[in-house]
Amino acid sequence: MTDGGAAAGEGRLRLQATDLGKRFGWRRVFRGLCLETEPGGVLVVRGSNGSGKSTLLRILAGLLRPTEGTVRLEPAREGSGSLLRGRVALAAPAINPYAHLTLAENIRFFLHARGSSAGESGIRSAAALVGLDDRLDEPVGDFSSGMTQRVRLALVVAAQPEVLLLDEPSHCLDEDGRRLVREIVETQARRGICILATNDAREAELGERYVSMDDYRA
Amino acid sequence: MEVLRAAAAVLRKDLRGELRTRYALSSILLFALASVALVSFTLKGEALTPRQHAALVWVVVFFAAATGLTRGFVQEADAGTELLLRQAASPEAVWLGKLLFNLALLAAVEAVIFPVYCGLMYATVEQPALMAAVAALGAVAISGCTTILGAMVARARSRSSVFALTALPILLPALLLLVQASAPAFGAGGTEAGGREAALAVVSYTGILMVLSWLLFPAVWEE
Repeated sequence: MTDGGAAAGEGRLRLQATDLGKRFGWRRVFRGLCLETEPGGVLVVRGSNGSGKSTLLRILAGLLRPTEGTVRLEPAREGSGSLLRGRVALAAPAINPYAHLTLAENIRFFLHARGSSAGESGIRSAAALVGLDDRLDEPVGDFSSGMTQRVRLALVVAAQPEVLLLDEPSHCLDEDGRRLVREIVETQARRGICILATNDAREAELGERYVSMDDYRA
Repeated sequence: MEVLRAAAAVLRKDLRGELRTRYALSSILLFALASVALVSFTLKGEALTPRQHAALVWVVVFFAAATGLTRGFVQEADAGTELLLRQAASPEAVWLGKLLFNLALLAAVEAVIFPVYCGLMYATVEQPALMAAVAALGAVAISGCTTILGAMVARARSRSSVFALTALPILLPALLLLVQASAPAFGAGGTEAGGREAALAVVSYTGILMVLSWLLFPAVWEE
């Protein structure tokens, strides 16, 4: 089960996963995974291909139900629901923006649907952060792969989540884009929780703590 | 309130996308207009009974809806936007937003199909108000059913067979009632009360469909 945590009330932000396991049909991806993280440092998830890095991030984002174990985000928020929606945001290469919508429309949709009150200035500053403020009114479908990756980052940055999950954030990015990822990760680590899934050595340098999915292979 | 706001965002997003691409609208209208034209040319002005008109027009609407209304979720899955939508809105908001989008689309299609059908098939609508009410009811029933089936179809490997296997048995009672309710509007004598009773039965059946669709959708959508 993934929930908002049992301990209601004020307290330090903390994401805790206990005895997590995931199986797809008969194939078990991982089991027995425990992690706990708080603001202030970046947790990097590493592991060989197919070890379950992306699966773990989806579970932490509430997009996938674990087969075993629990995920708790404390302090619990009233009405935050069972899926941590509105508190956690995940950017991953497999999560695409809407190709027929412009960059501004994509960000506006994401924020409005999540119940965020961010206005046009928030949309503009998120686009500026990823270096796409001059492309706000262009359909995302016309963007290159690297620009699309910047759109993914713009969406989650605009949402200002308490927990930011980044799956291969430098995917398709140039050197300037890599610097941007570093900036986003460092900013998030100061204001909330940041978890990175990567096998890229340069991205992994951003981490202060590490989890290897290979240790939890079934 | 939060659900309504998020549903409005989903609806706006889908309407904007449809206005730009016209994927669903063009496929539904093409199917519907081609079907009506084909039947019209085949019958060459041969007179049909009001019940036959009622049955034929709902067959066209149902199959036209089947070609386009399930595409909303399939497109989300194929384009890789499904996880973005799941992060953005609750299942309830997604269900409501997609339902309203399907309803708007089907209402627009019905607004074209019914007059074209009457024109090409020499059908006379003697009770326009009853016809409009039954058409609206039919749009709600079909949209409610196709919204949850669309989510199921998007998850299935054999998409076309899943829809065919599930939609017809679920919608058949509603379609039979819609035919019965709209026959008096086409001038079937002596069955006006029966038409009203059938319309009420459609309301009840649609209500049950909606409640079940609302309750089951989170389980279908979330994994």
